[in-house]
Amino acid sequence: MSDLNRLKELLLAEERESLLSAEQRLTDLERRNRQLAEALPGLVRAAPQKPMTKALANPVAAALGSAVHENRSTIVDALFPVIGPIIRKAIAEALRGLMSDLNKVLEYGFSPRGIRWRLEAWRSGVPFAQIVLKHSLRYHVDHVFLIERDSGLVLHRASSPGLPDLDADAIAGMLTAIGQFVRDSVSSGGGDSLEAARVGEHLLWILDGPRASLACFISGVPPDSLREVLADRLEQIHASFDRNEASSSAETGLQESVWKTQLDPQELVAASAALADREDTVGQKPSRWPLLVMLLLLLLGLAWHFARSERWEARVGQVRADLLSHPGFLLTGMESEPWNSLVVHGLLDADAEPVAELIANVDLGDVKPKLVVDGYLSTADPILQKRVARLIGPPAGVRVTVRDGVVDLSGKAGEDWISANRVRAPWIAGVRSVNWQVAPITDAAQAAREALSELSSKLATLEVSFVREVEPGADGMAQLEAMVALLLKAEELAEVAGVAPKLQITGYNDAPGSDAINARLRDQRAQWLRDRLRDQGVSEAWLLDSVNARSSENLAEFRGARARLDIETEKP
Amino acid sequence: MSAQARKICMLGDFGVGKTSLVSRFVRQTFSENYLTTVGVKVDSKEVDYGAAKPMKLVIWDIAGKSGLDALNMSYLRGASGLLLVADGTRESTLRAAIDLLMQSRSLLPEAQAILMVNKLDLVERWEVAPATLAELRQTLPVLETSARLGDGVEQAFIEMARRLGP
Repeated sequence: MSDLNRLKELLLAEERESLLSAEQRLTDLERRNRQLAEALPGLVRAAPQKPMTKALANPVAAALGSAVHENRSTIVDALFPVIGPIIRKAIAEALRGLMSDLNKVLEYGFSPRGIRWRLEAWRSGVPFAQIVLKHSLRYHVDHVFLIERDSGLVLHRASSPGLPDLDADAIAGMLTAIGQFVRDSVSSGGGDSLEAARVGEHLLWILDGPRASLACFISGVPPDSLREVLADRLEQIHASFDRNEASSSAETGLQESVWKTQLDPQELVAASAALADREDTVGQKPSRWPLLVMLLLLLLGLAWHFARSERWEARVGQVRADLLSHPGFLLTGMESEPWNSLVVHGLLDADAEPVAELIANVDLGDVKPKLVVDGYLSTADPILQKRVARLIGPPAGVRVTVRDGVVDLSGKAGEDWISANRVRAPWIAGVRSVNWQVAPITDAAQAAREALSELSSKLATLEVSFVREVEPGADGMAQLEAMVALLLKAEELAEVAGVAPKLQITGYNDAPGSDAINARLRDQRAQWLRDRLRDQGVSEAWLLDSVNARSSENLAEFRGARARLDIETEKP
Repeated sequence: MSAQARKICMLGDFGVGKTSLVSRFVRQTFSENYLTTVGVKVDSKEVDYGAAKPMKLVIWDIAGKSGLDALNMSYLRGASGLLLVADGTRESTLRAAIDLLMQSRSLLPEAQAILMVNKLDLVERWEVAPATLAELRQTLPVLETSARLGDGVEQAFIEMARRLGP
């Protein structure tokens, strides 16, 4: 051994031993770890289940929480095969529930019972869902406690069969304490009390009386009628307290048996159902009124509708009758919507009178009738007569009449007119035949007619003026003489022309004066002129009926009288 | 009802062991959280005290206070018996128990009262002198109890039942 090694031995012997020892421990530790890792699954499997589960609960939960935070995707991937079926199962359950609900809705909607419930909902104004709930809900009264109000001691308890036992005294005491606590904490006036509490589908109703309270533990959704029944029972129990003051505690056997009947859960449910049915029965009577009122309103509405329609039809019928009787119009159709629209379809001859005014005169309310008209040729006698007159233009001496399509032409006319229209008349549309009885006018007669026409024009320029009632003015007599001269000449010419002119004498008045006075004045002035003409030699045949009917009209033109000669009048 | 029921109230200062005494005596139905929320916890126990029928004691464990407010007074209504609890290691709790008795008498003049001096297991540290207890025994029953060991607990409730019995 060299000096150096000896020196190392002396100086580092202790450290070397420590190092060797540490290496040995490390080797041992690694070996044990390997052994432990190999043995661990077997040890875990072999370990007692309960303590092992308990021991691993917290570390596993913490590890899982940490893994969710740090390796979420790994966890999700690992859980995916599990989550999928769970979700599908949940969806399937939900769909099953939905289908069940739909089945119920369909059943309620189309069955006689559903229709009855719908009527009930309509009659009572309660939503249909609430009516369905009312008739189909299921609930149970689990426990009923009759509790002495001050002490919280149980006077009587009743439970539905099959429920686990519970410490009724402790529960009643706590209910009383909590009720007092709520009353003390919440109620400002002190008169209110805890009436109900709900946890999930479990419901607690508390009804307070002066001496005792009724606590009712319910599963499901009870109807309001149950509360009414409970209140009624509580009142009955208080009445029995008053009747038997000495034995108001739970000691009296008789009272116990009465309470047992009154507070039996099944009996309470039955009484609630009976009460609900009774209320429904009672409720139906007054609810008939709205039905009757609606029926009455419906009848009134129908009556009003029919009356209105009838009125419309009557007016439209009037329009139809007027149109059917209108010459030259052929009604082809009418489209009518009562008090809304009226469209008239038809055919109108060009020589017929327009029909728009005819329709406009009928009262159709706010409806403006629409007229859709096409042209056509009418064969009606009045229209045919107008068409013939329009097309052949008969002179004054020719008379045109039509009967059953046969045209009668009579009188006198110039030869040119006769030759032109004798050929044309039978070709006019609608004319079946022409009965031609027009005589030609000679040259002398024609000249006389023309002279007579000229003379008539001159006569129209003359007039006799009066200064007052029938006193002629300054040139009145001169005008009269001119009239006489013309009329005497006219008599001669009329004889030659073969016509019988019609003389018309008309009296006039000016603006002032009443209608009665003016009418008398006009008549007097016309008669004055007629008398003077007679005096001057005018033919009595001309003067007969010569005073014009216009003299009865208040024309208010001037104070005077005029004479007119109508030479178009054919000689009889 | 098979057993006659009577309401009794546990009264005493904070920390004297009322709840421990009740826990020792009854099977609890409700959580002790009610004591801090509502201020009371109710349990019941049937006591066979030698009579023909057992008696059911409905025990109202009222949260510890040295005085009674309106709410606590309402909890006392209808009680037949008062179990006053004091801590032997704190003489002030004995005075508080006596004060509570005096206050409750205005509402419950006829109620039976028993004083339970608790924590008998720590008797070496008691501040309450035996002479004081002897003096109190002349006016109301006094029982020394240990909620921890169970000493005297059942006897106190049986004594209450006996006094409330027919």
